[in-house]
Order: sequence, then structure tokens, then C-alpha cells
Amino acid sequence: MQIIGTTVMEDCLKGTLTLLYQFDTPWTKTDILKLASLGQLDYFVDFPRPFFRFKSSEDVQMKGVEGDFTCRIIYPAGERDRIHAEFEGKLQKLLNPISH
Amino acid sequence: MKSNKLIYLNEAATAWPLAPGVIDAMLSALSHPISTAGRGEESINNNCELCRKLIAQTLNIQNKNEIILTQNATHSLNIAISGLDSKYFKKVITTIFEHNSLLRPLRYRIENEGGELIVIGLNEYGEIDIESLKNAIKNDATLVAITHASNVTGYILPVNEIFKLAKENNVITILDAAQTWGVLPVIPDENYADIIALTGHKGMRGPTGTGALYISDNVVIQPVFSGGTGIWSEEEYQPDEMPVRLEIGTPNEHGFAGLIAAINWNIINGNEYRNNAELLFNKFISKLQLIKDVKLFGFTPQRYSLPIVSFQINNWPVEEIGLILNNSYNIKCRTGLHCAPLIHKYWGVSEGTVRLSLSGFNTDDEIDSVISAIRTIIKCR
Repeated sequence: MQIIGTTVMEDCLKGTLTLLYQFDTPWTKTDILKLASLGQLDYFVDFPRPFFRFKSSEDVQMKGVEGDFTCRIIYPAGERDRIHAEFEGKLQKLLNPISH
Repeated sequence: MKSNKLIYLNEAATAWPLAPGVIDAMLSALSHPISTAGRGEESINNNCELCRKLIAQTLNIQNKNEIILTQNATHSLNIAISGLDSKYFKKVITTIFEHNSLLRPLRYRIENEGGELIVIGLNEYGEIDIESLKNAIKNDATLVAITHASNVTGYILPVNEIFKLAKENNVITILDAAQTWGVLPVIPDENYADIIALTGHKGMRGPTGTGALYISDNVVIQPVFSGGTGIWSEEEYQPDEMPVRLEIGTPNEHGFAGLIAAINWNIINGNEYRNNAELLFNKFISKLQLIKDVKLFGFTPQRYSLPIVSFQINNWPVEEIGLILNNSYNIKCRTGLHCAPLIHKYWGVSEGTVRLSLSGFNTDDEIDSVISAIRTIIKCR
């Protein structure tokens, strides 16, 4: 599962950066559950397609729905660029370990 | 994995489905050379001229050249506000319900002209503070520019009462009818409106990229754009004649072919679908009100409004509710500020609201599904 593009989303509040990430394959339960190794994961299975919410120790948030090719990632205001670069690297490695 | 049927509740942004006949009309237009290509006498029966005539009919005006064809209501408002004489921007009255399509162009002009913007808030009943508004009009107002109905709450402003007073005080009036054309009567004479901005892709259920601007013949708008008009080509500057004074370049002939079909459909079927939307909305809102973790914004049961509701759910971020409804349930809705920042600031909700907006094309089963989805979200927190 690889990141193939990002788009800045409109509702960015008080210095945070919200990006919509596009992936080459849809989010599966396996991919979602991997996120737990990077921080706190909430996985809601009662919806027609499960919703997930993730938060890292540096306050990076991810939100998405199983089966989607996209997810939202919200980077916090302080040290945004550094956190953005580091987290994106970790995510790529987690979701696509072979290419790393 | 379940694949839910689409439930479309985003009418306040863009109507869906399009009015029956729109797609065929557009396909037909796309299949033939457009009649405006050569301009001149061919233009009498082209889609743009036919549409202009039909729009004039819906507004109950005799002179179709008071109608400028545009891309949408935002485009219309920009043409009007940018082209009005600077004297109108000394003291401008507007309301807390306004959309950025009106607020932003107004602010540019007012700042450039050194004028003043007065934003009228709400009274104790959550309605526009009509007494403050009346006082502001009487106190040397130069322009009153307001929406016909809120795109966030569906609240319908008492436009006729406000604009009548404005006209009695020789104040020019601009009506943003983006939410109401095709839904409520939009009649310049009854609304006391000098300028009205319309869009084709909401209540009229036409294609995006179609809109119109009504300008009373007692108001002069200077052209913001200049260029080819197809006629009076020997003139070095933009012709004075309406509507070419404010219309430049090759128009959206295919889109206006679709809008003709939408207006014709609305004239025959609009009432039936509006009544159905009202019934469904009443049913929906009566169920939504019973859910204790749902907080409604700007809704008053006793007041008639457009079928739009904004809400939050306790302990659920607005954007997550939107993501779950849109992506998990396939219930199309909108979250955020809905391009109307002032009313959200008044409510103190910087993250905005979830907005559901219905049409007569929705069904009882869909309403039940949405209520069920909201209950499940609450249960899952």
C-alpha cells in the first residue's frame, strides 16, 4: 500500500495541516490494525464499513474508512513540517515494508 | 463488505439528481454545433436567449434584457458588487447568515471605498434582529445586501419587509437567491429587489456552471470584464446595451440548454416535489429532535424553513461524523462552516456543523436510514 498523492483539505484550523492522502490500494482491516504500532488506534466496526481513528504521541491524527483509497491526516501546529516529514516516512515504511 | 445505496442530503450545495430532462437536453446540445458560434441573427433562438427568456418568466419580469447569464450566484454577486458605483458602499447593511459569496466581494469594495459594513445579528428568538436592521436602514444606509435564506439553517429572511423599507429610504437592494430560486417565489417587484443573484444548480436542479443576475433597469452596473460580444464589434469598448454590456466571450450554451429543461420541469413539477421535501423534512426533524445527544443549531419548530438542518453530536468531532456518514454509510452530507463563517462564530462552533439538506427526491426509507445511522454513531462513541 503506497501513498500516491496528497491534497490540502479546506478546513484547517489554527495552524494545523490537514491532508487528504490517496493510496494505490484500499485500506484493509490488516492495514488499519498495523497503525496500532505507531500510537493509539480506535477501530469502529459497527458501521457498514468500519471507521478508524489514530493518534500518535506527537499528536498526528489519522481518520479514514475501511475500503477507501484515501484517509485524512491532521498534523499539529507546532513543528508541523518536521512532524509531517517524519510521520509520512514511518507510515510508508509501515504500510509498504518491502520497498524500504 | 457492505455497499450502501447512495442517500443524497447535500441539496444546499448542489441538487441531485438533476431535474428529469436536463441530461437529454445537454446531450442534444452537445451533439450539435452551438448556435451562438456565429452570433448575429442566429442568436434569437439559441439556448442562451431561450433560457434568458425563461428565467425572466420565472421572475415575472417583462424585459428579458434585465437578465445577465452567469456561471453561478457567486459570479453574479461579484459582477454586481464590483460594478456598482462607489457611492453605494458608504454604509452597507448585511446579516449574520451571509455566505462568503456575498461577504467577500462586499468587503473588498467597502475597504476600497472606505465604507462601513454593518452585520445584523439575531434576536432572542433566533431570527434576524429586524428592529436593528430597520434602524440601520433609516440611518443613512447606502446598500442592503442579504440572502433570501440561510444555507446553514434554512431560515427564510423577511426579505420583502426589509427591502420595502430600504426602497422607501432610497436604498439599493441586493438579494442572494442562491438557496431559493426554484424553491420560493423570487419576484423582483414583490421582493423589492434591485439586483438578484441566481444559480441553476441548486433549487432549480439544473447543471453546475449556470446562473443569472437580474439587474433592474434603474440600476447601472459598470462592466467588470470586457471582450467579445458577437455584436457591435466595431466599438472599441464594451457596448452599453444590456445584456452584452455584462456578458463576454462564448457562453455556456450546453449548460443553459440543460437549465431550460430544468426550469420547464420545475414549472410543472416543482410544487409537488417541494411539498414532498417539506413532509420528509418534518418527519426527519421530529425524529432527530428526540435524539438527546444531537444538538440542533438555528432550528425553531414553529417556523417554516427550507429543508436544511445543521447539528452536532455530543463527543463526536463534526468532521468524523461527516466522514462516517459520507464514506461508510454513503449518506452524502457536508460538514464545516459551509462558507458561512459569521453564524458559526455567533454559535461559538469553530469546527462547524454537520449539514443535511433534503429534496423531494428523498424517500421515507432514506430518512429512516439516516436516523438509524445517527443513532449508531452515538452508540459507538
